[in-house]
Amino acid sequence: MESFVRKEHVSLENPAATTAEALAFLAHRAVELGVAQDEDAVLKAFQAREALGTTGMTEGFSIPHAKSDAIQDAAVLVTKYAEPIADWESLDGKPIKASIALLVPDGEAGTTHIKLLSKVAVLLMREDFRTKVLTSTSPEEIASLVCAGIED
Amino acid sequence: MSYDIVAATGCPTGIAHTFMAKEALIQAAKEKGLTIKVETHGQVGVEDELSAAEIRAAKAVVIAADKDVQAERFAGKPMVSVGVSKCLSQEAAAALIDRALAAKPQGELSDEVANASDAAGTSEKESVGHVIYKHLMNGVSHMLPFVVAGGVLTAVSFLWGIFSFDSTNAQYNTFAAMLKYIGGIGMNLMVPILAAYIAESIAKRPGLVPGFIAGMIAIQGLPVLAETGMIDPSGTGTGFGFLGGIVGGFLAGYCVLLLEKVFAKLPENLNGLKAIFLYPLCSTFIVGLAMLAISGPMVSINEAMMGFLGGLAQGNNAILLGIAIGCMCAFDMGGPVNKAAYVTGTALMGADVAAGITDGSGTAIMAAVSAACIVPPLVTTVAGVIGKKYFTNDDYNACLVNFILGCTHITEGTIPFVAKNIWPVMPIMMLSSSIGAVGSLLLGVHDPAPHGGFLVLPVVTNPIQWVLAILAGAVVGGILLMLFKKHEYEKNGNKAV
Repeated sequence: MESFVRKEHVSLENPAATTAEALAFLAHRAVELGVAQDEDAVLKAFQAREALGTTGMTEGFSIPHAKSDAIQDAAVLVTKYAEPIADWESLDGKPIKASIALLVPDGEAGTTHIKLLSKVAVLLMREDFRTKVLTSTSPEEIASLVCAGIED
Repeated sequence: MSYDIVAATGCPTGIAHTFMAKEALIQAAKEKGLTIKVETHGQVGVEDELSAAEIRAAKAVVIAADKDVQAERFAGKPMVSVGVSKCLSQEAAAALIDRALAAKPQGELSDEVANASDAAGTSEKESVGHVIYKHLMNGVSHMLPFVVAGGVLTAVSFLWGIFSFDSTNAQYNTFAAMLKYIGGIGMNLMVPILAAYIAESIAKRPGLVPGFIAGMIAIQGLPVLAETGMIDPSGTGTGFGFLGGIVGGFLAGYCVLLLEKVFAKLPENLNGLKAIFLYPLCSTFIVGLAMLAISGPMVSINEAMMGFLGGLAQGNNAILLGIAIGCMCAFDMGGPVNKAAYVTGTALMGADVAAGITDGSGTAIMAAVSAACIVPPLVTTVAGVIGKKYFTNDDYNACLVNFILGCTHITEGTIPFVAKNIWPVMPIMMLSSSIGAVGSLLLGVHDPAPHGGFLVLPVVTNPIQWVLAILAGAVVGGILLMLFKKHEYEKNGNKAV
């Protein structure tokens, strides 16, 4: 499972200043990495999910997710922002410093990988995981943190 | 295993929040030294599903969901229900558990939860009989509304006359015809629903596909050539009735369980392919073949019974003939045995009517067949009226609806009662129908109409005697059925089952 989240899936010093920019960046990146084909469709799926209720969590994390038939493989993208994003509504009112984005293919394909995405979400509940992600400056390290977390 | 807390979580996408809320609840419960089981309604379906026994045993219920998690199951338990975003930290989850434990229960426990055996809560192993009954009941409870909807619409259409659906008949009425066709589709779905939800109870969602298909085959039958046992493209099938539906449902459910074992060795990344391709394809093929194998014998049974009844009809022994008609009509309600009696009755009646004979054996046998078909629903009505408290609410209401269905010759209303307890309800029905049929023959009743129940009374010879014979059967059967339900009620700690 080492290949599920690689260092290419992690981006640091993301210049996005608003939620909209952050989501656009994630959709663009998903296409660059070959996870999805249609950038517009992925962005719309992200926005549709935010419209149902914010994905901003606590302690500066958000967990945007998109489910679309434009997505071929289940994937996780991690990004840390150069400046915290203030307009991303969160459960504790704190600005968002990092996002863990989940990309979900439509239909029943890839059940196994979908379960992995759920494990990534659960990781966010762990304080030590959150602290390490926020302090780390190495994409490799963050990728391996996520991989290690979903293995057990 | 029983738990202090049971919980259900769910969110629209079913990927992140559902499982984060679960994690928060588990951590919070652990901190408090409580045991917990969390059912998740996620993208891949329902996982860690709560059983009725677990719900019954739990001290409190927490729901954290933004989608339907069938909360009606939890009625009558101390409960708190919030959106999933209110349960995403350990502190929030701990507060929810406290609130749930302190909450006052609202409403009454659902029947299923109240009746869940404690044994199931304390040991994982349920008795085979109970497991089979549980699967059967899942099918029956899903079927019941179809019987009511389809049966009553059909019955109402008869108010315009029993031939009102037939555009070549003087009684034809477009509205009545519409009611009858819509109602007929509802009734035709009964057996497929029964089979599908028996299979669903056994094998969860993958069971539905082979279950529905087995049920459709059971209601329509497969056209087979008796000599070869293979499909005869120009033939018509003989349905197997609800008994075939029950067999097909169990076959479908266990077939999927078997396939799950067989395919367990396949690599995990083929899981998606299994659910959407391998299970439906393989299970349908296997169950279809099995149903095909039963089809040949079904045709033979049907033909043999018609020959048998035709032979009896030549003789002069009214009692023997009446018992045969009664037992056949009440045996499988729409299956090959029932159809043999009904088809024989209508054929002999048709020959009499065509020849202008009004008091021949054909119309007498038709009257006996109709009496035998009218009795079973009325048996449930009598039993329900004299023993209301021995029936669950749903069943009691079905008893009352069966009055309408019985009076209009719609025997199918009885199927849920028989399917639930083939023994002893089927023999009770066979006895009651026999009383009705024998009475009808002995009292010299003649019926020149093939269907319609009491709505055809104006054209029946000796109509009062006919009604009396039917009532005699209904009362005897009603008392026996009530006694059986009373026994069940007492066995279950004075609670209706």
